[in-house]
Amino acid sequence: MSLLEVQHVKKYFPVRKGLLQREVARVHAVDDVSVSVQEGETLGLVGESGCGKSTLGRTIVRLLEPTDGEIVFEGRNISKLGAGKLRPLRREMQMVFQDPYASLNPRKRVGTIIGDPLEIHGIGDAKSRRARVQELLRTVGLSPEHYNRFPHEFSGGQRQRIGVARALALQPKLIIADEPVSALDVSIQSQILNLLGDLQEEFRLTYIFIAHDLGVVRHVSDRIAVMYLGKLVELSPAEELYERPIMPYTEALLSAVPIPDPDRAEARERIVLTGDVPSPIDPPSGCRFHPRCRYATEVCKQVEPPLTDYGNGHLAACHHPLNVDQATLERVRAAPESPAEADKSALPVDSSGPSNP
Amino acid sequence: MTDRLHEPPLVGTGSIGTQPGMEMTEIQAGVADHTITTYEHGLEVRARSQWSYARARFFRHRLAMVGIVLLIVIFVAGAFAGQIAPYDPTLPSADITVSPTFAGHHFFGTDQIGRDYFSRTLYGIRATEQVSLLVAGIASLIGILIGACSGYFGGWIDNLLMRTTDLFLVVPALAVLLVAAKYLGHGSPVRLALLLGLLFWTNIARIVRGSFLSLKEKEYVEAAKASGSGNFRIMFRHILPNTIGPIVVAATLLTGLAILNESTISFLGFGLDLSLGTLIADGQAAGLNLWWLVTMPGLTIVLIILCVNFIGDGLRDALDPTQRRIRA
Repeated sequence: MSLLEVQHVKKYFPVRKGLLQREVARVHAVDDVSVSVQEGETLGLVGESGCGKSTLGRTIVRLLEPTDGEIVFEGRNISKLGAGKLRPLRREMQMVFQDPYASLNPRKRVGTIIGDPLEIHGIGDAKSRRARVQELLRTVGLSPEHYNRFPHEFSGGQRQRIGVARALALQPKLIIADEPVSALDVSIQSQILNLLGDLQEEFRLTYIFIAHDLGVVRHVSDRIAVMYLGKLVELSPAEELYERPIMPYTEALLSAVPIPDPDRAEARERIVLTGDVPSPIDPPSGCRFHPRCRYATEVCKQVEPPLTDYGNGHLAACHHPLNVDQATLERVRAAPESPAEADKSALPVDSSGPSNP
Repeated sequence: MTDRLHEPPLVGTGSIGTQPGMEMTEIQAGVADHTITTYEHGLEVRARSQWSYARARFFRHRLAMVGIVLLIVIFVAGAFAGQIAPYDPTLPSADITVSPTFAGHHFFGTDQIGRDYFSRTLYGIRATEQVSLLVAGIASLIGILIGACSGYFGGWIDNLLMRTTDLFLVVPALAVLLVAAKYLGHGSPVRLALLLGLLFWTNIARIVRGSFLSLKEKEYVEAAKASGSGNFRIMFRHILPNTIGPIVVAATLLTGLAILNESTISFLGFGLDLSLGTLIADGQAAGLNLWWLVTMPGLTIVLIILCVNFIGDGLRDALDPTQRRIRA
């Protein structure tokens, strides 16, 4: 059984206008995404800004109400739980936030910030909580004397450590890390990544790691999910995604990862996506990526491709997959994770890229 | 934002690396004794919080300091009127209509029936100060509650509460006060304060709502939510401490407003039996020959309001985080 199953989750934000606050449109932030997370693994979640990856993360921990779909945590459907029933669940899943400058209350001391979850859940008395917080500080590589300091007395990396300590306080099973390093210096990024890795081993944590930096995600993830405009477009074991991207969007993303070697960087083909991400208020028909895709044909405009299972846990939603040989193409089936609106019979028939994996 | 610029140099706290102990031993091993003392000294340096910056700015704000000292003197005098006043404020004496003098201990003179005006002013201050502090307290409480709910919950709650606030703003306060005071508040400082408080919370409610609107989007609020905090815990333990600055400023300035209104009502004869406003009213009935009967309580009011406003200004400047400069 997976620790977490996200089933056809949608999150739409209403756009209201006028005197009566009529709903005139909806932002399709997350549109029918299904993905499951196994205990102990790290699922990377990548995509451009505004593709809905943070919204998905926040919906999973129920900071946002899902518009539709089910979130099943340890076999329990938690998508409809009220605030009261949700509280014990907060101990199981926690979040690490992106901006370590905004995620710590400037008026609270570090000890209060980290101890707050313990206090809410009534764990221990004041004295044992203090001891626990100091132990947590040590765990994340800070010193227990920092207990009485204010957040602004710390550097960005140290603040992020405080954020991690807060998330760890309740000993959760699942931690959603929402771009935990993108606000940090490159030199500090690796420290935090290593810390997260060590903690995963020590406490058997499961991570959903949200990022827009594919280099970072590769370093930490077991599997990677790629999102585009609210849809899950590719899901694959981490190394395979880098070696053999199937969805053209993933290919374009990968070609944007900087290569430190100038000769190799020169040799690589840069795929520059033209145009902006279309508005999620009125997303394109068919495959959402078609207006920017260099392989797009008529069918991409008309029919939404199903998530197709290419074997080995590699799913992709594309009419013209890359890096797939003909033999594989004949075997493929639509995955149950496909969005409801996708045409499950519209399986890809040809490969547009190099066909040997 | 600003605190990022003023991050204190983390002298030797040695926790950037994953193993905090490491740097320390390296430093100690590699350098002479005096460096170690510097290091230890560095540990003792308390980095300054935003509050301590604000405190420093406030203490260097000259007008505010003058204001706060004077106000404390006046308010303490009022609070201990019973002990300080040289005469009974209600007891007539033989010294009728003495002008202000130091000779006969009637510093502020006496009125037509010989009551010592200094004593009466002291008691007036006491009543006025009771009313004004109560008003500030009551109005802040109502304003914080309404503003917090309005800003935090938003939607129809916000609409309802803010339209109610607008209603209170357009009501002609003086007319309502006079009518209400006539039937409810005659003579009692507490009831008068309740009345004033019920009318003057609007400004604070708006300030609090505005702060809550912006602060509720902060990530630390989300973090609190993710830890399982309930709405009220988030509102009053996480957001409210961040709005204290503007609230204190508004409440201070409101104290001045309350004094003016209390004096006005008392002057018009609907307020307290003995307050600064009542004294002025009595004094102006006596005519210009007995000038001190109006001037002494009048000047006291002016002085109090000035002090309060200076303090308010000082607090505003001190708590404005965009202003790092410490005013000389």
